[in-house]
Amino acid sequence: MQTFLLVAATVLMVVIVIPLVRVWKGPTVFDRLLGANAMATKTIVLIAMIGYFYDRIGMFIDITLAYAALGFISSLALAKYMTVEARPEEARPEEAQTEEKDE
Amino acid sequence: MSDFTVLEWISAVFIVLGIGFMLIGSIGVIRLPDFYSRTHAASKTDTLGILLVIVGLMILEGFTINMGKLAFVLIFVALANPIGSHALARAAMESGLKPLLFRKEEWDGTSVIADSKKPSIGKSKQSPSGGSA
Amino acid sequence: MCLARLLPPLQCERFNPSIVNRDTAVRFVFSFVALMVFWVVLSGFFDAMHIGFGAVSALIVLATFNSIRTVHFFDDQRDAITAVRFHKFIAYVPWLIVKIVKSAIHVASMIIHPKMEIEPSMITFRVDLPSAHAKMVLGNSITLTPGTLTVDIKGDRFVVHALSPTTYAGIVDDSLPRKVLGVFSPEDHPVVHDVSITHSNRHLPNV
Repeated sequence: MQTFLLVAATVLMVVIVIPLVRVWKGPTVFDRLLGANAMATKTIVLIAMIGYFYDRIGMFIDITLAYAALGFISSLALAKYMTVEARPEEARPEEAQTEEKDE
Repeated sequence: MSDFTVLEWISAVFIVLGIGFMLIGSIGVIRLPDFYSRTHAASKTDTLGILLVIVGLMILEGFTINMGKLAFVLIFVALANPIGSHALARAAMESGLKPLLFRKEEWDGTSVIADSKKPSIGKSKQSPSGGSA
Repeated sequence: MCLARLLPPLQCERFNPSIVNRDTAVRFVFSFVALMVFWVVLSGFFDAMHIGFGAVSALIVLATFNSIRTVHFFDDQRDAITAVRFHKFIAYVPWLIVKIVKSAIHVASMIIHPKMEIEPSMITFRVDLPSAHAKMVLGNSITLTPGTLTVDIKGDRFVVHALSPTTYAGIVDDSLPRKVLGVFSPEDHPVVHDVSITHSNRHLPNV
């Protein structure tokens, strides 16, 4: 079983690297985010598998839970940030007006 | 390989199936023509792959406390992945990234991809399809 | 003690003992049991001291979130945990899993097909569902099914991106939304109406 898990984890590592091409090529920032998100979710499984390989699943499964939660929150936060950041200029006239008033 | 017990065979089948689905998801992220269709490959096919591998690991673990923790990971991934992909798609739609839609016969496989490479975000003059929010 | 004060425009309600009824009791027991299961599985100890710590933590969490529970983000939002018909929900989950596996195989075969015969399309429709939770469950089910993706929900209007006609058939013919309605309400009526399907960039729906 150890050999099988080692082979499976190695194949999974190759699978995880494939979306890096999409992160590199783009073309939009959302494609890059999507590639990064796809890599992060698959890493969850890789950590759990490494835990079985080293026979220390009790420790690694907690890391898996924390990593899953962290990846989810960061994905949501980045999506929210990109919505505000990439919105076209006509959608935010209020900011320009308030700046003028301040001056 | 021949010294597997029955349970280990079952979990090995689940793990192989799951990694296969993840591989197809990764290929889809590269092959599909536009952002919205890539989202399908990246999050849906992947989610099923992850769930299959975790079920395989649960069978391998047997009935212990770690199986419960793996079940938490399973539920969390099943709930969080669709929400994450929905948030990304909504963010793209709100910032005016237009989806690429076509009929099967209209698409020659290349020209539409080249067209979609022009990023529609970051241009001030463009009327966004979903920017009304 | 009232976390809702962090959100200025929202009103804050204090805990009122006179409104304790069957609904609030069911909600309390359900939340407490769920939090305790989470605690026990994460800690892995079953002695009295650890379980006592867990009970105290669960009570603190419940007390803190009692105030935030009354905050409503949508007009038709309400606590629907007692409105869920659990026997229907338990039947719904395996049905959804079978559907997910079926359409995952369909999408995977489309991706690895050399010609990649996809037909991306946008579908907009209105739904007739009793609460915001029902819409949330429907939106999540649509997203969880490979090949369809909920892009936006505004009021009762859904915007869905689909990868091929086979994948959106389950939404357009009302089978998936009716199952969701069955989970939340005993009455049965058509849910989806005003369906419009776009296959061309030139006729994009006004999202």
